[in-house]
Amino acid sequence: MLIAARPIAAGEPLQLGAGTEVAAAADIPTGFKLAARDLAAGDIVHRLGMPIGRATVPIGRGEVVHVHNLESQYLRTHRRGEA
Amino acid sequence: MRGYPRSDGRKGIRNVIVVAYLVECAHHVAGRIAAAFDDDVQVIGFGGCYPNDYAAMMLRRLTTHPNVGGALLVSLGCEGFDRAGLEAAVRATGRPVATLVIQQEHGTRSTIERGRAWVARARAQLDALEQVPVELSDLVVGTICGGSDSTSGITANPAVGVAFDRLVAAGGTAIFEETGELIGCEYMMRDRAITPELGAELVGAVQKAEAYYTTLGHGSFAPGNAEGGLTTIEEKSLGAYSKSGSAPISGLLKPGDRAPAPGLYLLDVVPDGEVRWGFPNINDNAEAAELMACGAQLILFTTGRGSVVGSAISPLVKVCANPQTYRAMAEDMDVDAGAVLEGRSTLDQVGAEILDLIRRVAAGEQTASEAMGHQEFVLTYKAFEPVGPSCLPLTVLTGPDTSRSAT
Repeated sequence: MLIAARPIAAGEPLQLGAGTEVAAAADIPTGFKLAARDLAAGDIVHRLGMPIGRATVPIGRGEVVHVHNLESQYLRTHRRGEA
Repeated sequence: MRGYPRSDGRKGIRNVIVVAYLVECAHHVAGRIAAAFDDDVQVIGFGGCYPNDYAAMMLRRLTTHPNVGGALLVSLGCEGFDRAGLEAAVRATGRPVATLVIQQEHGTRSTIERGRAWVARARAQLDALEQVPVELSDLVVGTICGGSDSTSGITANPAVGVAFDRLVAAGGTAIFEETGELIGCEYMMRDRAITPELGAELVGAVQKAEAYYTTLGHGSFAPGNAEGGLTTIEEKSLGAYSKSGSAPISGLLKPGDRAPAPGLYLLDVVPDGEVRWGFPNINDNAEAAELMACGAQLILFTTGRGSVVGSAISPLVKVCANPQTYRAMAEDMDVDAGAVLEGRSTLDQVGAEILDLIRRVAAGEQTASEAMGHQEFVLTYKAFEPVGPSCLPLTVLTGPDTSRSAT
């Protein structure tokens, strides 16, 4: 899991050290997450070592990880416009 | 630092007179009484007509808070609140106190006039109070996050954790809260408890929160949290948890409980028993009120999205997590913790800056929200059982009144 420390533009190559590079699949605002490696549906996603949810669909390396592809293992996330 | 000595041995860093309405019907009159004075006369109160043990306890704690020097109670007259009991509790502490019953004072205008005359006399009396030295060990500091985003857990919250570690090391008391925003962190917290029994209580408090929020249908997670990059409650929790720093956890409090000894405490804000009266805390100021009821003289408020609120009674220090938010709303912020993200500072430096600001605010410096007159206050219906014996393992050093029975 990678977290954007500044806004990142789609396609921008990101160096992960030791010759590893990942390209952001979409524009990423500060604080949003992107996958550092390919994830399968059902995989548990970690941030700073703590599980923060389960992938609901396969997530490719460099893709944004957010409410559309990650769900809580505790309580459903409430989104604007929902009752 | 210098402050105001109170009869129970605590010290205030402010010397506020509160005008407390005891039902919404008396709110306007209370507001008009306070409006004639400077910002050190503030309005708090409870809107409900029907009595509630929690609300009664909260107003007893808040009208006898160390930052409060005196209290004027404003009653309509027919509401259920035990106004005589509250007045007696305040009087027992030696503070100036009076009750005005609007129905007995011939209505709005005459009550406002009598109220202003009383406050003017009490203000003069309190302004003559001799100040005494205040040390970090005299301080109880609470922390809340409000309007969190994904940067909160990277900058502002861990920086508050650094400040908390230093405050606790200096003999102060630190309180973090909102068990509903610690879901997912319960086992890490358990391992920091000073006894295994307390650890089990911490896990139980978070499980209670999870069950409560499950009944309500969703967690303590606002749409703006997701728009700020947070995805799940456990991700928000991870960030919120970092406000607690790394000190051992000395106890579990419920609203109105005082810490029996210095150290780090968790405040359980989720009601006991079946789900009643809606959300545990309807907004951030309801949480601030509960931290103050536990004696917090100052509150560190972290925000990523950008909250503007302040609080009645205790100054609120705004620690901004997101550098873009800081630039957009600088006038509302006290600390630019987002500097860490841009390499302009480190968590240690921001933590030191927060501790320094705690000292300056305790010495009288106004926070951003104080300077702009923010004095938000929220108190709702809730119900709690007393904490169990395992929750406060430390010896009682200061003889606190932790009773929640009606007095």
